[in-house]
Amino acid sequence: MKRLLIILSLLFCQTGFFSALGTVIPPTLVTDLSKKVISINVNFSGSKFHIFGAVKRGFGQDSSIDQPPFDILIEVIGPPISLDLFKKENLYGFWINKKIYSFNVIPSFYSISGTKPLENILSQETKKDNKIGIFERIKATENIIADNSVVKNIALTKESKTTYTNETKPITFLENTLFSTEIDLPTDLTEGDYLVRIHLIRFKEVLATQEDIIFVEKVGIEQWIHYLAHEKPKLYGLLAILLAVSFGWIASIIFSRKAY
Amino acid sequence: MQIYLPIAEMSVNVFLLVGLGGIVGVLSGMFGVGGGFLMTPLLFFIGIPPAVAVASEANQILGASTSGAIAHFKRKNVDVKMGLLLILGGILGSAFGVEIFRILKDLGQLELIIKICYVFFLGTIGFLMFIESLRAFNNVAKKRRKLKKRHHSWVQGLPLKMRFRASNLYISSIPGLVIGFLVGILASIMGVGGGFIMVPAMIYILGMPTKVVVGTSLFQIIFVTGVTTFLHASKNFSVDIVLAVLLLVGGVVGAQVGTRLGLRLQAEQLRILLAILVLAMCFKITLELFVTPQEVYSLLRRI
Repeated sequence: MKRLLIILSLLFCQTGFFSALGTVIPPTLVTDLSKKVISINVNFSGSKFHIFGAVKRGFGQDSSIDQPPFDILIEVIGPPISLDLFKKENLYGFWINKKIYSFNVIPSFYSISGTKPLENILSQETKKDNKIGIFERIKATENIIADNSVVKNIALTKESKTTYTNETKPITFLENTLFSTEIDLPTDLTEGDYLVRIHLIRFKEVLATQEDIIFVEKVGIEQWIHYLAHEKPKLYGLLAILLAVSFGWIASIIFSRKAY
Repeated sequence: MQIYLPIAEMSVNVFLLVGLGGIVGVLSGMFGVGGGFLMTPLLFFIGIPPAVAVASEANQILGASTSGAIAHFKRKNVDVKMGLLLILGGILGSAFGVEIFRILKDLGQLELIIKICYVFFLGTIGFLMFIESLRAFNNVAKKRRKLKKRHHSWVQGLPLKMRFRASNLYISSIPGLVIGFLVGILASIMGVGGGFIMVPAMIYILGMPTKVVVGTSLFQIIFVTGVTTFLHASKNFSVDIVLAVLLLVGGVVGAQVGTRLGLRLQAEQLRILLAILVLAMCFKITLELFVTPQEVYSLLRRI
C-alpha cells in the first residue's frame, strides 16, 4: 500500500513537473512482431509475418500533440548485400546488359507500409532526414548525394515487384490507436537481421520511432547444404559428384536386372 | 508439393522437376540423345537462374550417363586410350569454360552468351534432325549412299601420332585433344554432355568405328561433367544438388521407359517431333534475345 502510494505520487509529480515546465511528452509506440525468427526449411515458399502495436498517449495531458490524427509508417529493411545494376541496351538487334551502377551495401529487401501513401504522410525533407522510403534509405547507406536517377531505376527492375516494393502497402489503423499490418517475404531471402522500423507521424512530423528485429535463417538440410556449398565448396563439389554417380550406378543395377 | 532449392534460392514444385526430368529422360532414352540440351533450356523457362541451371545440369548428366557408361564399359565398347585423350582435352576445356563463365557472370553477360550458344546449337541440331527425319519419312534413307569412312588428309598430316588399338587407328592425337577441349567448353558453359558434337566428330573426323563411338563418348562425358561439376561448385557456387537429384529421379526412370518405347515405336519417324521441339525451344530463346524486354533494368548479385 505504501509502495503504491509512492508510485502514484511519483507519477503525479512527473506529470505535474512536466506541465509545470510547459513541456509536452509526445505519444510513444508499443509494438511487437508475430515472429522473431523466420526459418527457411525444405518446404519454404516465402513467408509472412505480422507487425502490430498501439499508440501510447501520455495521460493527464491535453496538449494538441497527443491528439489524433496520427499516421503510421512501417519499414522492413533486409541485411546489406552487393548488387550491380544493369541496363539492357539494343545492339544490332540484341539486348545487351550494360552495367550502370554497383551498390556495395544495399539492403537485400525493403518494404514500406503506411496508413496513407508515403508521399501524403511525409514531406521530401522529412523523408530525407529520417531516411524513410526505399530511395532515401539506399541513398543514405550508399552515400549517394545527388544522383537520384540511379536509385530511381531500381523501381524499374523485376525485383521491384517482390524485393524492393516502392508503393506503400496498407495498414489497418483502429481508432487512431491500434494498428497492424502483414509483411510478405519472397523466397529468395538473404539470411540475417531484418530491421523493422515503425514511425508515428502527425502532420508530416515524425513523433516517435520504434525499432525491432526479425531474424531470417536457413535451417536443417537447407542450412547444411548452403553452408557446405559456400564454406567448403570443394567438399560440396565432391559430394555432388558422388551423389550423381551413385545414383546412376544404383539405377543401372536395378534396371539391368529387369532388362535381362 | 513445394521444395526450396538451397542454391537457386527459390521454391519449385517437386513434381514439376521430377516430371521434367522424366520427360527429357524418355526422349533421351528413345532417341539416344543426351538430355542436356533439352533440359537446360527447360530449366531457364521455369525460372531457374541460368548459372544454377547450367552447373546443376552438368551434375545431372554425370548421374544420367553413369549407367550407360558402365554398360558400354562392360561390353568393351570403349576405346579407353582415345577416351583418355578426349578426357584430357575435356578437362582443359572445362577449366577454361568455367573461367569464362565466371568472368561473364561478373560482367553480367552470362545469360546472353548462354542463350546465344543455345540458339546456335539448338537451331543447327533441330534443323539437321528435321531434314534427316523428313528423309526418313520419304524413305529416302534407304537409297542414301553410305558415307564412306575416310580419313581427311589434314587429319592424316598432323604430327604426334598414336596407335589406338580398340579403334584400329593410327592417327595424330591433336584432333582428339581439340574435340575433347571444345566439348569441355560446351559442358561448362551450356550444361550439356556434348555427345551431339562428339559422336559425329569421332565418326567423321577421327574415323572411329561406330561400335566404340557411343561408349567412348559416354566414358568421356562422365569424367568431363564430373570435373565441370567440381569446378562450378568450387568457383561459382552454382551447383544445386537438390535440383540435380530431383531431375535425376525423373531422368533415370524416364530413360528406361524411353529405351523400351524406342524399341517398339518407329523412333526414326518420331524423330521429327523431337526436331520440332528443339526448333520451338530455339525459337523461344531467340525471341527472348530480340524482343524488347519487359524490364530494361536488372539487378545482379555480386559474390
